[in-house]
Amino acid sequence: MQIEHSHDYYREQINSLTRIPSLPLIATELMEATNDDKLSVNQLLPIIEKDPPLAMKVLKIANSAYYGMYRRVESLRHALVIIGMKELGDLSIGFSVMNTLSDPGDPAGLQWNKLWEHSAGVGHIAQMLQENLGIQTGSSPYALGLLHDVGKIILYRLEPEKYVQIIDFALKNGTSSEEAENHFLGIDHMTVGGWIAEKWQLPVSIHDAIKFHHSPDRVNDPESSVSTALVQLADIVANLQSISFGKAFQRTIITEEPCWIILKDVSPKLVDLDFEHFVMSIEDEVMVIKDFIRLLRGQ
Amino acid sequence: MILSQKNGRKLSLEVFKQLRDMIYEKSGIFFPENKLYLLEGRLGSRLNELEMESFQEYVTYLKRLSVQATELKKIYSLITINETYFFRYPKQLDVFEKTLFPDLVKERSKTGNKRVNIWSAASSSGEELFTLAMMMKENLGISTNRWNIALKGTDISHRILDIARKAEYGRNSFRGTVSTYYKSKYFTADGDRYTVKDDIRNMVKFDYLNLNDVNAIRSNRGLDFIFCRNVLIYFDKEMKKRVIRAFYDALNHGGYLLLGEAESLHGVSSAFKVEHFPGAFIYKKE
Repeated sequence: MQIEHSHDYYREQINSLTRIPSLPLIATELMEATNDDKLSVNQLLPIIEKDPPLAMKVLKIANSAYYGMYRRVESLRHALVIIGMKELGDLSIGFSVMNTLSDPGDPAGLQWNKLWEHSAGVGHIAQMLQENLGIQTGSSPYALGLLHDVGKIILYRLEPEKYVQIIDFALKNGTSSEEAENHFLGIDHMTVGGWIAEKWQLPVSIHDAIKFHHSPDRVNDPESSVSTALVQLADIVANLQSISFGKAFQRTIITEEPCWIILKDVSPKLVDLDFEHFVMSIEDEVMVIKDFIRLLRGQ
Repeated sequence: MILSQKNGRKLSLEVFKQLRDMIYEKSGIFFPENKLYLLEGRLGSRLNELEMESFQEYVTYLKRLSVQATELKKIYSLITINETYFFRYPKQLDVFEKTLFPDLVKERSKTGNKRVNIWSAASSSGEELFTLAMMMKENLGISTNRWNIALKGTDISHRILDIARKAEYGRNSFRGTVSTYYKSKYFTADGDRYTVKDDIRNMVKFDYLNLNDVNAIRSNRGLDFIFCRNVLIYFDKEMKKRVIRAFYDALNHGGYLLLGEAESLHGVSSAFKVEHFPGAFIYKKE
């Protein structure tokens, strides 16, 4: 396979604003606000209220089966309490990034639904794992899951025809998506995802989840390595339950994966978890995940 | 036989416990108290045959050593549930057909040891083992004859073993997805009855085995695959541990244990390495 472009070329493409949109203003504001340790509800509320579709989504999420509230959550303020401010900030960044990037003007026919399903699925599973394992993470695992494959969208936007070919190739030949990406483009979605996270100055935990979700052992920051490990584990679980995007049949020995090794150290509950049953139980979550996507995409 | 007597015969909790304990001790199959009526119903026909008036009488009879072994086998035939069909749990079979078996064939072809040993530890009426035989034949094609393939099925119920040996099946055995390709290639049809063709039947052997008999399990050596699907649910934890340990010993290094859908060894054994595949996971002895 003749590789057409160098890494520098892709990096330039990402940095030039012509082909990759800039981060929506609201996401920048949210990031700045949530970076402040003394963040108050009064600071966060007006930012979200400025974007009515986003505010609607926040309310819908607070009312979703996931948070399992018995009483209807009517106000944004109440939603903030339920979801948590930091988490809500991350979620809002996640939505606006995904919405900005998934441009409906679709030249080559990417299976957007599958990509959304996988991204939201990984987010949902990461959140479930976090609860099951009783682990504290700085960022919302949901948001990290939602964004982990953002590099795939970037590659698709840069090379639409080729990217559709890449997904076909991976499915037919049983290779991983990064092998196929490297084969056709000489670059993979983790690398370009990392660049876009840098360009947009996304928080370190989001950057790491995007760049290292296949190798959380390469993350330096200890807190970030745990949340990245959660994303890798959730990604594996999603693929095992065929909530996948462009991933073919693969054998996984979970106890040998870096995520398992990292998480085992921070949560003794991992070894007690009946992981096989956990994987099977995800089958029942597929409907919840699909509901979430409808909500996220405003359908 | 007076009908009212037949219907009126009750299994008291006390007698149920005696019976339950005997069955458990001999077979490892455990009936909790909520299964009292199940046992009452299943064994009723046997009491009719023996013309016995009460379950107490039956328990006394069962304690006689001269009849015990045969009588227990009759009980097993009545109480085991034989709910299987061709191509059941396709996601796992897919892993066997597309990955595990081809990998083994590749490896064995290199060494020249063309033997493959498979055991279905609760083969029931045989559909599972015949499904495997068909898959293996498809994979090896005309070179099947050059391989020494041993597919053995065992079960605790003689009644069900007879069905397996006869290899004749009705519609119920085809409630999974069986392609017309397989149906026409490996079965002869007679109305809605289908009989497995000889080339497949000759690959398979059925025998009696009680999984509570750990020595009997261990007499199976050098196995590449053990299928034990939807059986462990009938055993309590101790029995599960015993059986799984014996399976482990019976397997070759690199051999696999395949359990039923929704069954895991969590809390039972950590001796195996778990390999996950989409929709199925498999236990490997390293």
